[in-house]
Amino acid sequence: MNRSNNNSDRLFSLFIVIVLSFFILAARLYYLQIYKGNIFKDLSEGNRTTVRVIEAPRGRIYDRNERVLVSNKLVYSVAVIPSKVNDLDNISSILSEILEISYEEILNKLSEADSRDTVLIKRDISQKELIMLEEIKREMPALIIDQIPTRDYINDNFASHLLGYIGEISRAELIRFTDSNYRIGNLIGKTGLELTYESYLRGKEGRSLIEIDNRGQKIRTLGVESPTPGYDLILNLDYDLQASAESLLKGQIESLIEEAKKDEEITLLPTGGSVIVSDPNDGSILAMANYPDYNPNLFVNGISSDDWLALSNNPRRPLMNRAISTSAPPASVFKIVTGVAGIEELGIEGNTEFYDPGYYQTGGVRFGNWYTGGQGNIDFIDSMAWSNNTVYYKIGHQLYNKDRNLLQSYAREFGLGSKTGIDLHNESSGLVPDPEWRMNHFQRREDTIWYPGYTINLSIGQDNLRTSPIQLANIVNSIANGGKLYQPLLVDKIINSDGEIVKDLKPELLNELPVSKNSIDIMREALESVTQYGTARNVFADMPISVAGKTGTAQTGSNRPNHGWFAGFMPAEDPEISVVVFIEYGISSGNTLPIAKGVIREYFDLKEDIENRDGFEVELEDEFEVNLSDDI
Amino acid sequence: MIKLLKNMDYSIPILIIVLVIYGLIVISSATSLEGSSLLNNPFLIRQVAAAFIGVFLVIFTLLFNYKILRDYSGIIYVFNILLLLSVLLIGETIKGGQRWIMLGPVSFQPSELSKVLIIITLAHLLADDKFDFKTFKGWIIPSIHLSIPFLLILRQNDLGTALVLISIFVGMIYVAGASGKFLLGSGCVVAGGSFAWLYAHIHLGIPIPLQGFRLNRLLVLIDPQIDPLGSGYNVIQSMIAIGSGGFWGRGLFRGTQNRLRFLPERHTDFIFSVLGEELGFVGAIILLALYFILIWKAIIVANESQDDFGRLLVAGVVSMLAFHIFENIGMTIGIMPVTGLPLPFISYGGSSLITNLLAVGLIINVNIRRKKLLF
Repeated sequence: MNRSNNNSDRLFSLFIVIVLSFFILAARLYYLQIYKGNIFKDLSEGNRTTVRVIEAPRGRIYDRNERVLVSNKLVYSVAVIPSKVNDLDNISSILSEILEISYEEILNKLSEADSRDTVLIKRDISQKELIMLEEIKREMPALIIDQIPTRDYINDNFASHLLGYIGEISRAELIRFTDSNYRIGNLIGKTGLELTYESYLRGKEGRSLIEIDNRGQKIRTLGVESPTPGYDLILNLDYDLQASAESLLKGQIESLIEEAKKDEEITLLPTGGSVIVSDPNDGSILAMANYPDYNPNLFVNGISSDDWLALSNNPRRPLMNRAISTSAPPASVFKIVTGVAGIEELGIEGNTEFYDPGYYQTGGVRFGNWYTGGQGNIDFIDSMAWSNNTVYYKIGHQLYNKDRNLLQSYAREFGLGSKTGIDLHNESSGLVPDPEWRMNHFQRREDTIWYPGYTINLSIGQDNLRTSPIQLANIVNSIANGGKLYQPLLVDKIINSDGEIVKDLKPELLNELPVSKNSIDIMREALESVTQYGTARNVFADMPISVAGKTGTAQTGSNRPNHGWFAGFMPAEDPEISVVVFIEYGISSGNTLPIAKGVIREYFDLKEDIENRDGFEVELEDEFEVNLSDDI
Repeated sequence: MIKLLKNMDYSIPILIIVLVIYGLIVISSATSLEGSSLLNNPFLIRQVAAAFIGVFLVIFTLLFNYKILRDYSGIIYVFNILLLLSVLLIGETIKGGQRWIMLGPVSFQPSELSKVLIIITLAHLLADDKFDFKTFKGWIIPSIHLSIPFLLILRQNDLGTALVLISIFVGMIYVAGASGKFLLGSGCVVAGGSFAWLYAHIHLGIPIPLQGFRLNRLLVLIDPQIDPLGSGYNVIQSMIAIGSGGFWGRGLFRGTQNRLRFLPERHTDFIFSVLGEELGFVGAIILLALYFILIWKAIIVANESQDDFGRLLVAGVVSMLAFHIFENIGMTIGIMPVTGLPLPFISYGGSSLITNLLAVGLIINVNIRRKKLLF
């Protein structure tokens, strides 16, 4: 009985200890929830806290050797928390005065935003603005001055059309991307790679929960969700090659303009041009230069209306990526297509003989050769070397006689009339004119009929044929690689901030030409003859690298100057690169050749340098240089 | 069996059902997403499934007299050790602790079950006055009995469960006859010593040999602002949540700390923060009251037990539950260090729920086979 009592006592004591511990919990709960409940309520309701967005640094863009092309830099920005402002009009007018932004713009931004958000008013404020804002911040707790990352296009105008630019998200984009959690004031890719790869580059913004005092000043940080930086792009682009292509193109166009100004017969000055260097083996883009160009940094913090008008109203259209958006007749470059079709369909060989009296006549209509006297007996290879029109009129007419859509179907096999799918927006598909197109496109009955003359004009790349430089790059690439058309890609891979590959881009195989190896071999021989003894011999004959290519001088009608083209690949026997040059109203194809030559020199010289670095002689030279610098 | 059920104190199973339902309600708030319905909430479905499994297991165990556990005590002890060893060998590591064993689609935490197994074997060892706790010799065997599983659990980086084992041990040896003054005294020495050491660490830089994150969890107890974005973050967010609940709470599914995801682990270890925020002081006190009645009823069961073994079983379960409750709620309101201990019957987690149900099953087993009143 005694022991039993003892047990009961001990159980009771255990119970008492537990009861006491429960009392401690209840007392603490009373303290937190009743005694201090209002303070915690304020904290949790945001009366004493604020959530601030931490912007994610956007992914960087590198060239193929991981040289930085586009990066981010920290700048001072000014933002406002609308919910903490009593008088939106007042703050708008003060900020408008300091920042030189229109009053309406600021007021609209503030009144449209979700009231608990912070609304960014201006990025990258100047030192002077910063000082003035710090001054008024004391009376305006809703004002936040912070350092945020902003876009930095390191080399200004360099590759501007490819890289593109970013800008503040527009109302239309906000609606279009409602699912992607964009907010007013976010930056979004507007053009170029910035637009194509927006979802990778963007990153994910973080936020921090901050306790603030009743004047809105930060007391302490309660929690942070770190932002996730955007993924980086590694391009196929080669910085040095791109830079050289750009300077060659710019130099040539500017000097053509100077010359043309002196010539009173020229009605229109050259407007611009582009150069594409790509790898025929996979279609990857090593360089894509356009001129005139622009500085994407102008757009980063909101472009001023003066700057915008200067760019958008410029008749030379500096914002246009001519390499992909141009739609112009390819002229004689198209003879590659006509030639391959002729070899394949009409059994033409390299030594097949033609006769050129200086024109081709059919149905009472004469189609003239550029050499009006005629070249007499000429074989197929030489007809390409000299760009003889008569021979191609004849081939075109025979193709028409076989099937009036035959030449067009070859053009389509080579990718004309459709987009190449390059990783940029605003690509033009061009146009391959055919009987059906004529039927649908014209009103007057006599215009809707497809005459053989249209095919004859088409065979030398005129009529209504329209192509872009990137399409022509694909044509020469397909001859260079034995008949494959690839989707041209600027981006090689996408990596995260730890350097791990997120996506390795592989070009899509668009088409394999339905032609024999023999046809392609004949065409390669013909294209090599162009630079060995044909129309481009003056420029390329002396080069140590054998070049295969074709020039083109496109008539543009209405007494305007011709467009100039060059498209080729090199070394002819084992192609490493292809080059396409286009000069809008460039008068003659001859004007494209110095650019092509310069680019080829840059590419192959570059390679020689790299090879020599392993050599013995260069090591001695390096040593010599070191000694020299020691002396200094 | 029917005859035995007549002895049952029905308030115990009813309390458990109420607690589990209370838990399901809070879990559904802590895990619900905008626009999703309760019926396809996977957490809720799994918790309900675990509850049913637990209830069936309890009914099954009630068919047997708890006394037969004494016959298997040795086997149970060895099984327990093997179980804990297996975690060290094949367990999965989650958040710095190695506690899980994956069995196909189901994973379970052996350390949860281990707590109940140690109660059974310790109750067998301590029953019938075998040890004299007034002498040092009397302490040796029970201490060794505890320390093997204790060290294995410490080795899994599971400080919380290790502390539970100590509280089970202290509760049971006290009921078995150890000196209350001695236990209380040593408890005060350990707690006071740790506190002094921590204080010295912060202000005088005396080193403490603990893993970084564990040390931080102790340090933030003294001042959460030492590391507001790391270890202190959970505690600060939890205290804001609970404090902002006020008297009536902000309403179920309406807690902003919960909704905005500032609360960490809100359906498991920090579920009390959601409860405190959304159901307020009233909801918290109701929960404490439910636990209080359960423990009170369990103490009565222990007192009416037929034998020492039954009494010690119940005392062990009561100690275990009470420590879990105190530690879990204590950490959410900033008076205990953060350890990964779930709130019994409320936190999401199948292993924990089933283990707690089995533990209460032991209480019911002792209850229905209690000594006949001799009037």
